Amino acid sequence: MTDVGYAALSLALLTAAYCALASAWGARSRRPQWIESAENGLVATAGLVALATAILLYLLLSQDFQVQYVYAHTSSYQSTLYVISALWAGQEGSLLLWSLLLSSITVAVILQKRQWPAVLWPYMLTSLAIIHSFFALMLVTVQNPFTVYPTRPLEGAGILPVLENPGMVVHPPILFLGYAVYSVPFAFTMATLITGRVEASWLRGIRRWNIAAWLFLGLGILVGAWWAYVELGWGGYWSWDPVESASLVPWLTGTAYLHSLMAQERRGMFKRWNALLAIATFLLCILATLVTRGGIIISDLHGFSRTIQPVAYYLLGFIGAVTAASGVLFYLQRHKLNDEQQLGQLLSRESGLLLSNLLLVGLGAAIFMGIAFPNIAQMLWGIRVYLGSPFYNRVFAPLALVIVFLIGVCPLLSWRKSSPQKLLRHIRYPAILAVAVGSILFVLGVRQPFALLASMLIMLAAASIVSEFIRCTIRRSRLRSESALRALTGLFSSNRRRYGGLLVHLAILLIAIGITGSSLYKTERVVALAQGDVAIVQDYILKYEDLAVLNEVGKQRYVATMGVYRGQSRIGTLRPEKDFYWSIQDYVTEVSIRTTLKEDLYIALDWPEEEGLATFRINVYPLLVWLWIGGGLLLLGTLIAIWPSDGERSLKARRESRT
Amino acid sequence: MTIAVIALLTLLVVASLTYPLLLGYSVTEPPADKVESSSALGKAEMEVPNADQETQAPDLAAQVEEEVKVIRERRARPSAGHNRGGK
Repeated sequence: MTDVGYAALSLALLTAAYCALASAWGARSRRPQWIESAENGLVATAGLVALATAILLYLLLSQDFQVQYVYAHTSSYQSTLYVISALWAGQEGSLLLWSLLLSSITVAVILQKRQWPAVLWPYMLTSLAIIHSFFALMLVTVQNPFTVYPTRPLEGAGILPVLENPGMVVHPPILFLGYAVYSVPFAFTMATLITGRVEASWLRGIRRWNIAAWLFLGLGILVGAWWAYVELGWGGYWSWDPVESASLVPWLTGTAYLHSLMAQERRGMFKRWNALLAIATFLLCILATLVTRGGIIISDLHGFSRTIQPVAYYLLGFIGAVTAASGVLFYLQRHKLNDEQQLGQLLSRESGLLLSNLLLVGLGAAIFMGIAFPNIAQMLWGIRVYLGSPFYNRVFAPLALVIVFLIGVCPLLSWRKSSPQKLLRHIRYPAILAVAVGSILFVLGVRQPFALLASMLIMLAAASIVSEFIRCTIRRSRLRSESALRALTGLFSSNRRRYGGLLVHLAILLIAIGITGSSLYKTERVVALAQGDVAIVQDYILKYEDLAVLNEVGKQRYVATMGVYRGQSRIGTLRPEKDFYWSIQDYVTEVSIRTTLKEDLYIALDWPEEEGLATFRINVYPLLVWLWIGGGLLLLGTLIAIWPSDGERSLKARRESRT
Repeated sequence: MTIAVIALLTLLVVASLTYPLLLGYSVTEPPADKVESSSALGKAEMEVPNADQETQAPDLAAQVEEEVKVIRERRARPSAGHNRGGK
């Protein structure tokens, strides 16, 4: 079985390498049969990778501990769900998953080949095939998931207990899907650089892939944050750990690309900049894989290897080769990628997009430096430096505030030139509302300048988006004599892209509310209580009522019962627990959270009981739930924006009926 | 058995790669230059109605306002025929 799996990966490597050459040769020699052969080859590669994945999954489920990967990541105590998720728990498996997702995406791209410009198509295939070859090469040479022991161990080591969380099932695949989908805009851009041709109408096809990649990456990051929040027990959702920061950087550049692509589609501007962003975003996805899997960066939160892995050299080599190749192409084609229009007025949509692009890329660069600096310092000066939250907060917070402001203002600007009077007319009521909110918060006792400024800017941006919805709904309702609800739904169906995009902006503001409230006004207490004791945290009265010790397969659970009171009335019961796992001989925390729209009450049992006292970490996070609600709205808004409009659907139907 | 499976896999892959080369390009696929020209045709078709609205909403709103104004003015102004009827 393992031999077949390894053979499938080896064949995938050979086939993908052939496809890269065949499609390029087909384009050069104008022989479409070679291009068709490459298409078939990439579909075959996908089949081979799927076969290898199916074999590894079978080996995991059948618990064949002779296979090193199965031994390292499963045990007979593990539930089926976590045996399946062990597929991406280890290095080899996660690279195989990367490869599988890339293959599936490539097949989807091939299935809709008619939407891609014929002149670019073979080079897109070449680029995708090179990425396939690279991943297959790593799997065949240094990350073979089918390596076996000479004899069969009786029991597997199992995955870390902390990974037995729904987050483990969802977070890595979504994140990898985001990384893999970014290979499509990358392949498209490389094809435009090779041919030196790009037309505005071609960008419509790439836009949808770009948004999908952005959505998956964003959701992957959010699910990761949620997982950290509910599982790790250190009382937070984001710690600026290098691994999580590394996934944020391509999301930021991807956001910049998403926006500046609009200027290229609409006005033929930012061509070189967009090409640069598409390539950089994809390379940053590879870099995030390197940070996660290469062992080159010290990560405190994620338990990945701390010694440099052989795969790191492959990933670095790939990044270097792609950078060099795209640099040469950039130089050769520099005259063909000239902008069709120049940036005119300062107060225009283009200027707003440029400014937001610079901020997003600047933010990404600062975080990237934060990740790389400890390594650079060690390499150059031999000192160990760790850049923690204070550095990132200092860099991130001010730039994020300007971005929030632009979220509110940018969609109100017109292309080419905007009149200041019109902008002021649109923004005056949101501005009044923002000042009112700032004043109310001040009266209520909020004194932190950053909190006040952030609240006002978030309100300004949110109110300008909501007022845009209201204004357009009223106009549509009057013009067509429709009810308000019908007019609102009509707005979405008439222009999904714009109104879906506005919903996404609103979602980002909700996320900003969650982050601002929970980080600036969190309350943290560590208390030691005997059974029957009471702790008072803000207006919560918490009574430690009981500690149950439960023996289960593979672990011993210590479950504390905490009564939650406000005044005299009991408003809930929380059960934080600490589980001792025999396999790792260590404790894992299971936090208990009471969530309301106003705040989260978060209790972690730090130490079950020593001399009759149990230690609890009690946190109150104001407004945190809005972070997750924002995530939900982000998904909804993006789906609306990405959904084909009626016009596009009828066009597709016409094309299908013709063929 | 393992060798037979690997041989079968290899055969399938090689067949999928070589059949377009042996048969020339398939009859269902137009040659690359034709596809390019049809894509240029597609470009015109891809001009989807409302596609540009998202970038012009503030202008659109003003435009709608203008239209409503014109309609109101037209309703308020008595037409020539109406005047004649009144005489």
